[in-house]
Amino acid sequence: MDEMALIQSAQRGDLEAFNRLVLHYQDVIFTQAYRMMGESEAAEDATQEAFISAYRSLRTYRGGSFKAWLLRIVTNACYDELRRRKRHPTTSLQPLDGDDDEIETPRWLRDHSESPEEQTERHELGTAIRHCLDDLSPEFRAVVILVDIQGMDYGEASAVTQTPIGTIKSRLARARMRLRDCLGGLWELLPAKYRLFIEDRP
Amino acid sequence: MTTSITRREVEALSAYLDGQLSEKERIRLERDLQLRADLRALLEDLQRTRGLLRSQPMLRAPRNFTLTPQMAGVKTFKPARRRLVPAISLVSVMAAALFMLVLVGDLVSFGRKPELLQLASQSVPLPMEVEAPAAYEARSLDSRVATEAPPPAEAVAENAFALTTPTPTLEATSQALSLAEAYPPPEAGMAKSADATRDIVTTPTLLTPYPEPLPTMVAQADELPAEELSAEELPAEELKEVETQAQRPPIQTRWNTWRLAEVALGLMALSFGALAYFLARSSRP
Repeated sequence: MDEMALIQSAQRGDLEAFNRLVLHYQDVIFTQAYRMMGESEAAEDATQEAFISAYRSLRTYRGGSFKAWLLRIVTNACYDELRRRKRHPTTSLQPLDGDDDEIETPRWLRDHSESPEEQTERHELGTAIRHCLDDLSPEFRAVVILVDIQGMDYGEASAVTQTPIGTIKSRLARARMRLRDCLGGLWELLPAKYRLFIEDRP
Repeated sequence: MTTSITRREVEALSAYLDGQLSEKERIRLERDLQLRADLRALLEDLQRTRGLLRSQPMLRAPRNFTLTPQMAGVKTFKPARRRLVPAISLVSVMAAALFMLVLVGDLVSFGRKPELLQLASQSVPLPMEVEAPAAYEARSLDSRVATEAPPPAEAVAENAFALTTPTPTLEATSQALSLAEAYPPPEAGMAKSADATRDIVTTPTLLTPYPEPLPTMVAQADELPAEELSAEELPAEELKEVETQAQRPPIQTRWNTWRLAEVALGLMALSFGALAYFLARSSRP
Protein backbone atom coordinates (compact mmCIF):
# COMPACT_ATOMS: atom_id res chain seq x y z
CA MET A 1 0.00 0.00 0.00
CA ASP A 2 1.43 3.35 -1.01
CA GLU A 3 0.25 5.28 2.01
CA MET A 4 1.24 8.71 0.72
CA ALA A 5 -0.58 8.18 -2.58
CA LEU A 6 -3.70 7.09 -0.73
CA ILE A 7 -3.49 10.11 1.54
CA GLN A 8 -3.14 12.46 -1.42
CA SER A 9 -6.08 10.82 -3.18
CA ALA A 10 -8.14 11.09 -0.02
CA GLN A 11 -7.20 14.74 0.29
CA ARG A 12 -8.65 15.25 -3.19
CA GLY A 13 -11.93 13.74 -1.95
CA ASP A 14 -11.39 10.10 -2.86
CA LEU A 15 -13.39 8.38 -0.15
CA GLU A 16 -12.39 4.92 -1.35
CA ALA A 17 -8.71 5.74 -0.84
CA PHE A 18 -9.45 7.02 2.64
CA ASN A 19 -11.40 3.86 3.46
CA ARG A 20 -8.36 1.78 2.52
CA LEU A 21 -6.40 3.77 5.10
CA VAL A 22 -9.20 3.19 7.58
CA LEU A 23 -9.02 -0.57 7.05
CA HIS A 24 -5.27 -0.46 7.56
CA TYR A 25 -5.33 1.54 10.80
CA GLN A 26 -8.66 0.67 12.38
CA ASP A 27 -7.18 -1.97 14.75
CA VAL A 28 -4.58 0.45 16.08
CA ILE A 29 -7.12 3.22 16.51
CA PHE A 30 -9.69 0.96 18.10
CA THR A 31 -7.09 -0.42 20.54
CA GLN A 32 -6.16 3.10 21.61
CA ALA A 33 -9.84 4.00 22.06
CA TYR A 34 -10.60 0.81 23.93
CA ARG A 35 -7.70 1.25 26.36
CA MET A 36 -8.58 4.87 26.89
CA MET A 37 -12.32 4.37 27.37
CA GLY A 38 -12.28 0.97 29.03
CA GLU A 39 -15.36 -0.32 27.23
CA SER A 40 -16.18 -1.54 23.80
CA GLU A 41 -19.18 0.56 22.78
CA ALA A 42 -17.59 3.83 23.78
CA ALA A 43 -14.44 2.77 21.98
CA GLU A 44 -16.40 2.06 18.80
CA ASP A 45 -18.06 5.44 18.98
CA ALA A 46 -14.75 7.19 19.55
CA THR A 47 -13.11 5.28 16.69
CA GLN A 48 -15.87 6.09 14.23
CA GLU A 49 -15.92 9.71 15.30
CA ALA A 50 -12.16 9.88 14.92
CA PHE A 51 -12.22 8.57 11.35
CA ILE A 52 -15.01 10.94 10.37
CA SER A 53 -13.13 13.83 11.93
CA ALA A 54 -9.92 12.71 10.21
CA TYR A 55 -11.58 12.66 6.79
CA ARG A 56 -13.06 16.10 7.28
CA SER A 57 -9.78 17.60 8.46
CA LEU A 58 -7.59 15.69 6.05
CA ARG A 59 -6.43 18.90 4.40
CA THR A 60 -4.78 19.96 7.64
CA TYR A 61 -2.51 16.92 7.53
CA ARG A 62 0.94 18.22 6.64
CA GLY A 63 2.97 15.02 6.40
CA GLY A 64 4.73 13.04 9.11
CA SER A 65 3.42 9.86 10.64
CA PHE A 66 -0.15 9.33 9.50
CA LYS A 67 -0.59 6.78 12.30
CA ALA A 68 0.47 9.36 14.89
CA TRP A 69 -1.92 11.88 13.31
CA LEU A 70 -4.82 9.44 13.55
CA LEU A 71 -3.87 8.48 17.11
CA ARG A 72 -3.89 12.12 18.10
CA ILE A 73 -7.40 12.53 16.73
CA VAL A 74 -8.76 9.47 18.51
CA THR A 75 -6.99 10.35 21.75
CA ASN A 76 -8.51 13.82 21.68
CA ALA A 77 -11.92 12.29 20.96
CA CYS A 78 -11.48 10.11 24.04
CA TYR A 79 -10.40 13.09 26.14
CA ASP A 80 -13.57 14.93 25.10
CA GLU A 81 -15.80 11.98 25.92
CA LEU A 82 -14.13 11.36 29.28
CA ARG A 83 -14.46 15.03 30.18
CA ARG A 84 -18.12 14.93 29.18
CA ARG A 85 -18.67 11.87 31.34
CA LYS A 86 -17.00 13.55 34.27
CA ARG A 87 -19.41 16.47 33.93
CA HIS A 88 -22.46 14.21 33.41
CA PRO A 89 -21.81 10.87 35.14
CA THR A 90 -24.07 8.02 34.07
CA THR A 91 -24.73 4.51 35.35
CA SER A 92 -23.61 1.71 33.06
CA LEU A 93 -26.31 -0.61 31.79
CA GLN A 94 -23.87 -3.48 31.30
CA PRO A 95 -24.55 -6.61 33.39
CA LEU A 96 -22.39 -7.16 36.44
CA ASP A 97 -20.73 -10.37 37.51
CA GLY A 98 -20.64 -11.71 41.07
CA ASP A 99 -17.81 -9.38 42.11
CA ASP A 100 -19.73 -6.32 40.90
CA ASP A 101 -17.23 -6.05 38.05
CA GLU A 102 -18.56 -5.27 34.63
CA ILE A 103 -18.29 -8.25 32.35
CA GLU A 104 -15.76 -7.32 29.70
CA THR A 105 -14.08 -9.84 27.41
CA PRO A 106 -15.69 -9.22 24.07
CA ARG A 107 -15.72 -12.28 21.87
CA TRP A 108 -13.14 -10.91 19.47
CA LEU A 109 -10.65 -10.65 22.34
CA ARG A 110 -10.69 -14.36 23.00
CA ASP A 111 -7.90 -16.54 21.72
CA HIS A 112 -9.51 -19.85 20.78
CA SER A 113 -6.16 -21.67 20.97
CA GLU A 114 -6.06 -21.05 24.72
CA SER A 115 -7.36 -23.50 27.28
CA PRO A 116 -10.29 -22.37 29.44
CA GLU A 117 -7.86 -21.85 32.36
CA GLU A 118 -5.56 -19.69 30.28
CA GLN A 119 -8.51 -17.71 29.00
CA THR A 120 -9.65 -17.14 32.56
CA GLU A 121 -6.16 -16.02 33.65
CA ARG A 122 -5.80 -13.72 30.70
CA HIS A 123 -9.22 -12.33 31.35
CA GLU A 124 -8.31 -11.61 34.94
CA LEU A 125 -5.04 -9.97 33.95
CA GLY A 126 -6.82 -7.87 31.34
CA THR A 127 -9.45 -6.81 33.85
CA ALA A 128 -6.78 -5.88 36.41
CA ILE A 129 -4.81 -3.83 33.92
CA ARG A 130 -7.95 -2.11 32.73
CA HIS A 131 -8.94 -1.17 36.26
CA CYS A 132 -5.44 0.11 37.00
CA LEU A 133 -5.39 2.13 33.78
CA ASP A 134 -8.79 3.58 34.64
CA ASP A 135 -7.33 4.88 37.89
CA LEU A 136 -4.81 7.00 35.99
CA SER A 137 -5.64 10.44 34.75
CA PRO A 138 -6.42 10.51 31.00
CA GLU A 139 -3.13 12.27 30.21
CA PHE A 140 -1.03 9.63 32.04
CA ARG A 141 -3.15 6.84 30.60
CA ALA A 142 -2.69 8.07 27.06
CA VAL A 143 1.09 8.11 27.40
CA VAL A 144 1.39 4.66 28.92
CA ILE A 145 -0.94 3.19 26.28
CA LEU A 146 1.00 4.83 23.45
CA VAL A 147 4.40 3.69 24.67
CA ASP A 148 3.76 0.38 26.43
CA ILE A 149 0.77 -0.98 24.49
CA GLN A 150 1.10 0.64 21.07
CA GLY A 151 4.90 0.34 21.22
CA MET A 152 5.67 3.93 20.21
CA ASP A 153 8.89 5.71 21.08
CA TYR A 154 8.94 8.95 23.04
CA GLY A 155 9.13 11.10 19.94
CA GLU A 156 6.01 9.56 18.41
CA ALA A 157 4.16 9.77 21.72
CA SER A 158 5.17 13.39 21.92
CA ALA A 159 3.77 14.00 18.43
CA VAL A 160 0.51 12.31 19.30
CA THR A 161 -0.06 14.12 22.58
CA GLN A 162 1.56 17.33 21.37
CA THR A 163 3.63 17.58 24.54
CA PRO A 164 7.41 17.84 24.95
CA ILE A 165 9.46 14.67 25.22
CA GLY A 166 10.45 15.62 28.76
CA THR A 167 6.78 15.60 29.72
CA ILE A 168 6.32 12.20 28.08
CA LYS A 169 9.28 10.85 30.01
CA SER A 170 7.97 12.19 33.30
CA ARG A 171 4.37 11.09 32.78
CA LEU A 172 5.41 7.63 31.71
CA ALA A 173 7.64 7.08 34.76
CA ARG A 174 4.93 8.21 37.15
CA ALA A 175 2.29 6.16 35.37
CA ARG A 176 4.44 3.04 35.58
CA MET A 177 5.01 3.60 39.27
CA ARG A 178 1.28 3.87 39.91
CA LEU A 179 0.59 0.79 37.82
CA ARG A 180 3.26 -1.11 39.73
CA ASP A 181 1.53 -0.19 43.00
CA CYS A 182 -1.88 -1.03 41.56
CA LEU A 183 -0.95 -4.40 40.10
CA GLY A 184 0.90 -5.44 43.30
CA GLY A 185 1.98 -9.01 43.34
CA LEU A 186 -0.13 -9.97 40.38
CA TRP A 187 2.77 -11.27 38.29
CA GLU A 188 3.38 -14.20 40.70
CA LEU A 189 -0.05 -15.38 39.60
CA LEU A 190 0.66 -15.06 35.89
CA PRO A 191 0.92 -18.11 33.63
CA ALA A 192 4.42 -19.23 32.67
CA LYS A 193 4.25 -17.74 29.16
CA TYR A 194 3.66 -14.24 30.56
CA ARG A 195 6.53 -14.62 33.04
CA LEU A 196 8.85 -15.69 30.26
CA PHE A 197 7.59 -12.83 28.12
CA ILE A 198 8.46 -10.38 30.88
CA GLU A 199 11.91 -11.82 31.51
CA ASP A 200 12.78 -11.88 27.80
CA ARG A 201 12.16 -8.18 27.32
CA PRO A 202 14.33 -5.44 28.76
CA MET B 1 12.34 0.81 50.07
CA THR B 2 11.75 3.38 47.36
CA THR B 3 11.34 6.26 49.73
CA SER B 4 14.96 7.24 49.27
CA ILE B 5 14.67 7.12 45.49
CA THR B 6 14.07 10.51 43.96
CA ARG B 7 11.56 11.32 41.24
CA ARG B 8 14.43 12.07 38.89
CA GLU B 9 15.90 8.61 39.50
CA VAL B 10 12.50 6.98 38.79
CA GLU B 11 12.30 8.84 35.47
CA ALA B 12 15.86 7.74 34.69
CA LEU B 13 15.02 4.10 35.45
CA SER B 14 11.87 4.26 33.28
CA ALA B 15 13.77 5.85 30.41
CA TYR B 16 16.61 3.37 30.86
CA LEU B 17 14.12 0.54 30.22
CA ASP B 18 13.10 2.20 26.99
CA GLY B 19 16.67 2.96 25.92
CA GLN B 20 15.93 6.69 25.97
CA LEU B 21 18.88 7.83 28.09
CA SER B 22 21.91 9.52 26.69
CA GLU B 23 25.22 7.70 26.91
CA LYS B 24 26.37 9.79 29.85
CA GLU B 25 23.10 9.29 31.77
CA ARG B 26 23.13 5.55 31.09
CA ILE B 27 26.71 5.13 32.42
CA ARG B 28 25.89 7.08 35.57
CA LEU B 29 22.66 5.07 36.21
CA GLU B 30 24.39 1.71 35.68
CA ARG B 31 27.06 2.73 38.20
CA ASP B 32 24.32 3.67 40.72
CA LEU B 33 22.50 0.39 40.08
CA GLN B 34 25.67 -1.54 41.01
CA LEU B 35 25.91 0.39 44.23
CA ARG B 36 22.21 0.54 45.33
CA ALA B 37 19.89 -2.45 45.89
CA ASP B 38 16.75 -0.28 46.15
CA LEU B 39 17.34 1.00 42.64
CA ARG B 40 17.80 -2.52 41.33
CA ALA B 41 14.58 -3.66 43.00
CA LEU B 42 12.63 -0.77 41.56
CA LEU B 43 14.08 -1.39 38.13
CA GLU B 44 12.85 -4.98 38.35
CA ASP B 45 9.34 -3.85 39.37
CA LEU B 46 9.14 -1.35 36.56
CA GLN B 47 10.39 -3.95 34.12
CA ARG B 48 7.63 -6.38 35.17
CA THR B 49 4.99 -3.71 34.99
CA ARG B 50 6.13 -2.70 31.57
CA GLY B 51 6.19 -6.34 30.52
CA LEU B 52 2.63 -6.86 31.71
CA LEU B 53 1.43 -3.88 29.76
CA ARG B 54 3.29 -5.00 26.66
CA SER B 55 1.76 -8.45 26.97
CA GLN B 56 -1.62 -6.96 26.23
CA PRO B 57 -2.63 -7.90 22.70
CA MET B 58 -3.41 -5.44 19.96
CA LEU B 59 -7.17 -5.63 19.67
CA ARG B 60 -9.00 -6.37 16.48
CA ALA B 61 -11.67 -3.87 15.54
CA PRO B 62 -15.08 -5.48 16.09
CA ARG B 63 -16.29 -4.09 12.77
CA ASN B 64 -15.10 -2.01 9.88
CA PHE B 65 -15.08 1.72 10.43
CA THR B 66 -15.06 2.68 6.76
CA LEU B 67 -17.05 5.79 5.97
CA THR B 68 -20.14 5.99 3.80
CA PRO B 69 -20.59 9.10 1.64
CA GLN B 70 -23.30 10.22 4.02
CA MET B 71 -21.01 9.91 7.05
CA ALA B 72 -18.25 11.75 5.24
CA GLY B 73 -20.66 14.49 4.21
CA VAL B 74 -19.88 13.94 0.56
CA LYS B 75 -22.30 15.68 -1.78
CA THR B 76 -23.82 13.12 -4.13
CA PHE B 77 -26.46 15.22 -5.86
CA LYS B 78 -26.36 15.81 -9.57
CA PRO B 79 -25.03 19.32 -10.23
CA ALA B 80 -26.96 19.69 -13.51
CA ARG B 81 -30.28 19.11 -11.80
CA ARG B 82 -29.26 21.38 -8.99
CA ARG B 83 -28.42 24.17 -11.40
CA LEU B 84 -31.90 23.98 -12.95
CA VAL B 85 -33.62 24.87 -9.72
CA PRO B 86 -33.06 28.66 -9.79
CA ALA B 87 -34.18 28.92 -13.42
CA ILE B 88 -37.34 26.91 -12.79
CA SER B 89 -38.04 28.91 -9.66
CA LEU B 90 -37.70 32.13 -11.64
CA VAL B 91 -40.18 30.91 -14.25
CA SER B 92 -42.59 29.96 -11.49
CA VAL B 93 -42.29 33.36 -9.83
CA MET B 94 -42.76 35.20 -13.12
CA ALA B 95 -45.81 33.12 -13.96
CA ALA B 96 -47.24 33.82 -10.52
CA ALA B 97 -46.63 37.57 -10.94
CA LEU B 98 -48.30 37.58 -14.36
CA PHE B 99 -51.17 35.58 -12.97
CA MET B 100 -51.69 38.15 -10.25
CA LEU B 101 -51.52 40.95 -12.79
CA VAL B 102 -54.11 39.35 -15.05
CA LEU B 103 -56.31 38.49 -12.10
CA VAL B 104 -56.25 42.04 -10.79
CA GLY B 105 -56.98 43.42 -14.24
CA ASP B 106 -59.86 41.06 -14.65
CA LEU B 107 -61.27 41.88 -11.24
CA VAL B 108 -61.03 45.62 -11.88
CA SER B 109 -62.91 45.32 -15.14
CA PHE B 110 -65.38 42.89 -13.60
CA GLY B 111 -66.11 45.38 -10.82
CA ARG B 112 -67.96 47.61 -13.28
CA LYS B 113 -70.34 44.92 -14.36
CA PRO B 114 -73.05 45.39 -11.70
CA GLU B 115 -73.79 49.00 -12.69
CA LEU B 116 -73.75 48.07 -16.31
CA LEU B 117 -76.10 45.21 -15.67
CA GLN B 118 -78.41 47.58 -13.83
CA LEU B 119 -78.20 50.02 -16.68
CA ALA B 120 -79.01 47.34 -19.15
CA SER B 121 -82.02 46.09 -17.21
CA GLN B 122 -83.61 49.57 -17.24
CA SER B 123 -84.21 49.48 -20.98
CA VAL B 124 -84.74 46.17 -22.63
CA PRO B 125 -83.91 45.84 -25.48
CA LEU B 126 -80.47 47.18 -24.64
CA PRO B 127 -79.28 50.45 -26.06
CA MET B 128 -77.68 49.69 -29.32
CA GLU B 129 -75.14 52.44 -29.19
CA VAL B 130 -73.03 50.73 -26.60
CA GLU B 131 -73.02 47.40 -28.28
CA ALA B 132 -70.44 46.15 -30.66
CA PRO B 133 -71.08 47.10 -34.28
CA ALA B 134 -72.24 43.65 -35.23
CA ALA B 135 -74.59 43.38 -32.27
CA TYR B 136 -75.95 46.84 -33.03
CA GLU B 137 -76.74 45.97 -36.57
CA ALA B 138 -78.28 42.71 -35.60
CA ARG B 139 -80.51 44.38 -33.10
CA SER B 140 -81.55 47.15 -35.49
CA LEU B 141 -82.32 44.52 -38.04
CA ASP B 142 -84.37 42.60 -35.51
CA SER B 143 -86.35 45.67 -34.69
CA ARG B 144 -86.88 46.39 -38.34
CA VAL B 145 -88.08 42.95 -39.16
CA ALA B 146 -90.18 42.88 -35.99
CA THR B 147 -91.01 39.28 -36.47
CA GLU B 148 -88.91 37.74 -33.78
CA ALA B 149 -89.56 37.51 -30.09
CA PRO B 150 -87.98 39.97 -27.65
CA PRO B 151 -84.47 38.99 -26.60
CA PRO B 152 -84.21 36.41 -23.87
CA ALA B 153 -82.65 37.09 -20.47
CA GLU B 154 -79.37 35.42 -21.47
CA ALA B 155 -79.06 37.73 -24.41
CA VAL B 156 -79.57 40.69 -22.13
CA ALA B 157 -76.86 39.51 -19.83
CA GLU B 158 -74.61 38.83 -22.75
CA ASN B 159 -75.19 42.33 -24.02
CA ALA B 160 -74.43 43.65 -20.57
CA PHE B 161 -71.01 42.02 -20.76
CA ALA B 162 -70.63 43.58 -24.11
CA LEU B 163 -70.80 46.93 -22.42
CA THR B 164 -67.46 46.33 -20.86
CA THR B 165 -65.75 45.86 -24.18
CA PRO B 166 -64.12 48.78 -25.79
CA THR B 167 -65.07 48.01 -29.39
CA PRO B 168 -67.58 50.73 -30.14
CA THR B 169 -66.33 54.25 -30.26
CA LEU B 170 -67.99 57.40 -29.22
CA GLU B 171 -67.55 58.98 -32.62
CA ALA B 172 -68.94 56.09 -34.55
CA THR B 173 -71.95 55.71 -32.34
CA SER B 174 -72.70 59.41 -32.34
CA GLN B 175 -72.54 59.47 -36.06
CA ALA B 176 -74.90 56.58 -36.29
CA LEU B 177 -77.36 58.26 -34.01
CA SER B 178 -77.31 61.51 -35.88
CA LEU B 179 -77.81 59.72 -39.12
CA ALA B 180 -80.71 57.75 -37.73
CA GLU B 181 -82.34 60.91 -36.56
CA ALA B 182 -81.69 62.64 -39.85
CA TYR B 183 -83.81 60.10 -41.67
CA PRO B 184 -87.30 60.40 -40.25
CA PRO B 185 -90.15 57.84 -40.65
CA PRO B 186 -91.36 58.55 -44.18
CA GLU B 187 -91.11 55.23 -45.97
CA ALA B 188 -89.29 56.69 -48.94
CA GLY B 189 -86.17 57.62 -47.03
CA MET B 190 -85.97 54.39 -45.13
CA ALA B 191 -83.67 52.46 -47.39
CA LYS B 192 -81.26 55.29 -47.65
CA SER B 193 -81.34 55.87 -43.98
CA ALA B 194 -80.65 52.22 -43.28
CA ASP B 195 -77.81 52.11 -45.76
CA ALA B 196 -76.23 55.19 -44.36
CA THR B 197 -76.51 53.94 -40.82
CA ARG B 198 -75.15 50.53 -41.73
CA ASP B 199 -72.29 51.99 -43.65
CA ILE B 200 -71.17 54.06 -40.75
CA VAL B 201 -71.76 51.59 -37.97
CA THR B 202 -70.29 48.59 -39.72
CA THR B 203 -67.22 50.45 -40.78
CA PRO B 204 -64.30 49.04 -38.80
CA THR B 205 -63.32 51.59 -36.24
CA LEU B 206 -59.86 51.84 -34.83
CA LEU B 207 -60.54 54.79 -32.65
CA THR B 208 -59.89 55.07 -28.99
CA PRO B 209 -62.33 52.91 -27.02
CA TYR B 210 -64.33 54.26 -24.15
CA PRO B 211 -65.21 52.13 -21.16
CA GLU B 212 -68.78 53.11 -20.39
CA PRO B 213 -71.74 54.26 -22.39
CA LEU B 214 -72.81 57.83 -21.89
CA PRO B 215 -76.30 58.32 -20.41
CA THR B 216 -77.19 60.80 -23.13
CA MET B 217 -76.42 58.19 -25.70
CA VAL B 218 -78.73 55.75 -23.98
CA ALA B 219 -81.48 58.30 -23.92
CA GLN B 220 -80.99 59.03 -27.57
CA ALA B 221 -81.14 55.40 -28.37
CA ASP B 222 -84.48 55.07 -26.65
CA GLU B 223 -85.84 57.72 -28.90
CA LEU B 224 -84.88 55.91 -32.04
CA PRO B 225 -87.84 54.80 -34.11
CA ALA B 226 -88.33 51.12 -33.54
CA GLU B 227 -89.52 50.28 -37.01
CA GLU B 228 -87.59 52.30 -39.44
CA LEU B 229 -87.05 49.72 -42.10
CA SER B 230 -88.76 46.70 -43.34
CA ALA B 231 -86.89 43.51 -44.07
CA GLU B 232 -88.18 43.38 -47.60
CA GLU B 233 -86.35 46.53 -48.50
CA LEU B 234 -82.92 45.28 -47.50
CA PRO B 235 -80.97 43.48 -50.13
CA ALA B 236 -80.69 39.76 -49.46
CA GLU B 237 -76.88 39.74 -49.48
CA GLU B 238 -76.66 42.55 -47.05
CA LEU B 239 -79.21 40.93 -44.83
CA LYS B 240 -77.15 37.73 -44.76
CA GLU B 241 -74.03 39.66 -43.97
CA VAL B 242 -75.71 41.41 -41.13
CA GLU B 243 -77.00 38.14 -39.74
CA THR B 244 -73.54 36.59 -39.90
CA GLN B 245 -72.07 39.46 -38.03
CA ALA B 246 -74.80 39.26 -35.47
CA GLN B 247 -74.00 35.62 -34.77
CA ARG B 248 -70.39 36.35 -33.91
CA PRO B 249 -69.72 36.45 -30.16
CA PRO B 250 -66.61 38.61 -29.91
CA ILE B 251 -67.20 39.75 -26.39
CA GLN B 252 -67.74 36.26 -25.03
CA THR B 253 -64.55 35.04 -26.74
CA ARG B 254 -62.51 37.83 -25.25
CA TRP B 255 -63.92 37.13 -21.83
CA ASN B 256 -62.88 33.48 -22.21
CA THR B 257 -59.40 34.52 -23.27
CA TRP B 258 -58.92 36.35 -20.00
CA ARG B 259 -60.04 33.32 -18.04
CA LEU B 260 -57.87 31.01 -20.10
CA ALA B 261 -54.85 33.21 -19.49
CA GLU B 262 -55.52 33.18 -15.77
CA VAL B 263 -55.88 29.42 -15.64
CA ALA B 264 -52.78 28.85 -17.78
CA LEU B 265 -50.62 31.21 -15.76
CA GLY B 266 -51.87 29.79 -12.49
CA LEU B 267 -51.17 26.24 -13.60
CA MET B 268 -47.76 27.26 -14.90
CA ALA B 269 -46.81 28.93 -11.62
CA LEU B 270 -47.98 25.96 -9.59
CA SER B 271 -46.38 23.27 -11.76
CA PHE B 272 -43.03 25.04 -12.08
CA GLY B 273 -43.01 25.81 -8.37
CA ALA B 274 -43.69 22.17 -7.55
CA LEU B 275 -40.99 21.06 -9.98
CA ALA B 276 -38.43 23.43 -8.44
CA TYR B 277 -39.34 22.23 -4.96
CA PHE B 278 -39.04 18.58 -6.00
CA LEU B 279 -35.67 19.13 -7.68
CA ALA B 280 -34.27 21.09 -4.75
CA ARG B 281 -35.45 18.46 -2.31
CA SER B 282 -34.23 15.47 -4.30
CA SER B 283 -30.83 17.00 -4.97
CA ARG B 284 -30.24 17.92 -1.35
CA PRO B 285 -27.02 16.25 -0.09
